[in-house]
Amino acid sequence: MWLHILKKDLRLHWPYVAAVLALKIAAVWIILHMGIFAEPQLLLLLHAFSDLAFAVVAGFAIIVVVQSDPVVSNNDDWLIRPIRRSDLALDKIAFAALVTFLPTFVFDLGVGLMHGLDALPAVVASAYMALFIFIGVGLPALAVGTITASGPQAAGIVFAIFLLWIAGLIMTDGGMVDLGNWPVQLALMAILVIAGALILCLQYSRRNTATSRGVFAVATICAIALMFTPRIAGHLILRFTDDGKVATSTPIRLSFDDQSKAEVIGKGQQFMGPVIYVPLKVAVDPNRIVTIDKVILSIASDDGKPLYSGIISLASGYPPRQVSNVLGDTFDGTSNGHKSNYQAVNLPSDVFAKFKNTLGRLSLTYLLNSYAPVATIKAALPFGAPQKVAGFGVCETRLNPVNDQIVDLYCFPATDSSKCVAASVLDPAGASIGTPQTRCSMTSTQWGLNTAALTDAGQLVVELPASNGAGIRPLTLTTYRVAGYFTQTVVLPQVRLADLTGSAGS
Amino acid sequence: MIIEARNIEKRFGPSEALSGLSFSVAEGSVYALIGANGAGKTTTIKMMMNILAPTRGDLSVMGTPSRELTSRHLSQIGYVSENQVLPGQMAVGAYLDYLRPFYSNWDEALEKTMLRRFNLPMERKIRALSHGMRIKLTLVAALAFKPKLLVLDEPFSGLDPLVRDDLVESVLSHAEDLTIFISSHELNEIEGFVSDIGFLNQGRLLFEESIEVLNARVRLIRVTLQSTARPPDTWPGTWIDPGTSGNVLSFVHTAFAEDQLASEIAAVFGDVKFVQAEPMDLRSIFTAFARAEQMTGR
Repeated sequence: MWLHILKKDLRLHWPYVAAVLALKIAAVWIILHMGIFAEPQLLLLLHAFSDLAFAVVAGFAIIVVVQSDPVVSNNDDWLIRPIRRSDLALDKIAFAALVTFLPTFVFDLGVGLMHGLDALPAVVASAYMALFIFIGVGLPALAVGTITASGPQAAGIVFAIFLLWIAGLIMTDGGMVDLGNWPVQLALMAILVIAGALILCLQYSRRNTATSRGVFAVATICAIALMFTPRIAGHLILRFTDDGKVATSTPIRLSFDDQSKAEVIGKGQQFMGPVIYVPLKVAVDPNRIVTIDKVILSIASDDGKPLYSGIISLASGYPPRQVSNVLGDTFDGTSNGHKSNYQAVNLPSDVFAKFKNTLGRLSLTYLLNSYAPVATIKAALPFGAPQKVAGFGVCETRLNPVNDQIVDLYCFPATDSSKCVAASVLDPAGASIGTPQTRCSMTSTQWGLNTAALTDAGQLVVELPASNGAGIRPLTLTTYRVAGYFTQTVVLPQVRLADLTGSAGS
Repeated sequence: MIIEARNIEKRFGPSEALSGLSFSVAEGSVYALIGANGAGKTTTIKMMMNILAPTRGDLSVMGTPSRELTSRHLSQIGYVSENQVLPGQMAVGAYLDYLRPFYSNWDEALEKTMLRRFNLPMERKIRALSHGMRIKLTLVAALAFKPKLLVLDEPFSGLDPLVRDDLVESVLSHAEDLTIFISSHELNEIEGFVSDIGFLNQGRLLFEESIEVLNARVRLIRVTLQSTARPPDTWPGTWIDPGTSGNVLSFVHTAFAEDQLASEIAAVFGDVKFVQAEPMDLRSIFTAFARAEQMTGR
């Protein structure tokens, strides 16, 4: 009978279903229209909007459909009909799946296949995304629908959650947990699934609205609290769970370069806030690529008493005259052989204000990933035609629209394990022109699946010299896979954070 | 008994909606639960239908505790309520099409007959129907599957006399083998076909008996006294709702027995000029009891 009820719901609420599908189709059209190079940029904004609108309209549709046979009401017709509550619950869950899981799965699978993913990773990644949307949008909407009787009531609850979230942002100064962190993601999903299942059971079996509302409130508070748990907690869990994978021999050696200019340690010029330039000695295995995942900064007093510890990020933009040779987040053979390297890391303003001119010890713990080469292939990639690269993903080249001396290479890695690529252009004799250009995907992948390839544009962008004029580029592509995770701590003893903003040009 | 309630209590937070309610409805009877607004009639019916749970007490419908009623039981119970919220976006025809598969004994011929009788527009959305039309539709949806029990909660409220007559006739024409439980303010409308009455007042059942017994024991008594009427100091408990006009004193006798009336009057008033005993309609009986309850401060 649940199918009979579902047919009724679809007949009555088809405009909502049509709106949800239209938004999903729009999102897919935008992705395909942007292509792997994600242009024009304006479409990225439109894509983000259509994705958000899809989730909002799907959630709204579910609430409307659940409230069409309201559980909270004492007057509605279905209550006195021989309609099994389990059938009604099944119907509502099926509707929620129909407007969240099904369109996400079908359209994302299509995009994944068009982006060159193999069938299995595409199916698994799109199924994961569809499940994610069902749990993240469908289940909460079902829960809200079952504990409310009208649109304004549901809107009130959603608004209250929004206010709670804003309060969390204000209280933690925007310190939201990294939702890409799998233990955090798992905990959040568990809260949603357990609370959603409990509320649906309570409402459709016993119509126990008071208890259900209590469960909803507790789950909301838990989820918000989890989202605003200090970020360090999530990473510590991740480190703990990754301990088993930590490599014993590391392909990189990072150490404090005490021969460098120690006076660059402190607040430098930066667009968004103060940065520290950490002088580093770097020695990398030339056959490996190493990327920085996270950096934990610890400050201790001169006598070793801990003063501060927190996750910091790498500085992306920096004034070029401040220091030379600022290291990025990726190391390869080309990182060796420099006399002085500087790692630019963002320093929270309040931390700088608190510890400036204080003599102390700085520790930077780098959470690192290493990648080993899997295969090197020579490929001729025609401009403007996405091409599958076996064992890696899909790549496309084009002549840089601004500088015709450069060829852009965009790639989609297929899975979490194929995150890095090194590419170089070959001359007619088959020799590499210049050093290979290395790039690792910074887009977080989930559970080993490249879900970003379903909804994003290209992730790896490598700029290569254009040597043969227009036409087909003969390239060598070396693909890399994850070889291990490890940490390295660089200790800067006896340093003083200084204000360097007046010493530009050093 | 098709419905049996024993010491039902229902509380909504601190307020008590029903207290010690006991009644029973025999199969094949037409039982009317009457009472003022807020007396607890709708609450009683919602508990019977397993929409609300009793706080305490035992309530069984068709031999099953109301909390354990399943779709099998509900497929034998028709329900019409003035408060019933129908799916307004559905058309009349679509609504009946939707309901039909839930009932194994749905009689399409009966449905068509009733639709013709009520002249319901099949394509019109339910939200566009008048109140009367909506009640007619719920009645079709409550009778088309030939229920064993028909529960009517204030079905005639706010209807014009023509529609009311139409509905009553429809219900009666299908009353064979049907037990009807009705709550209504329209006492004149139901008086003709009710077999039993339960009088609910502020959550308590004041009395429950057959309409014949009630009609036999309740009379409006008018006593013409020798001088200007004044209620006596001692007043039998079975005499309620007193009133005076000149030298005529009236009251409702709730334990009337023709052969004892003269002696009862004489014992209270002594010599009187004239005594008149008039039968009362259900509405007047209800009003007299309600006023008496108000006067006793309940």
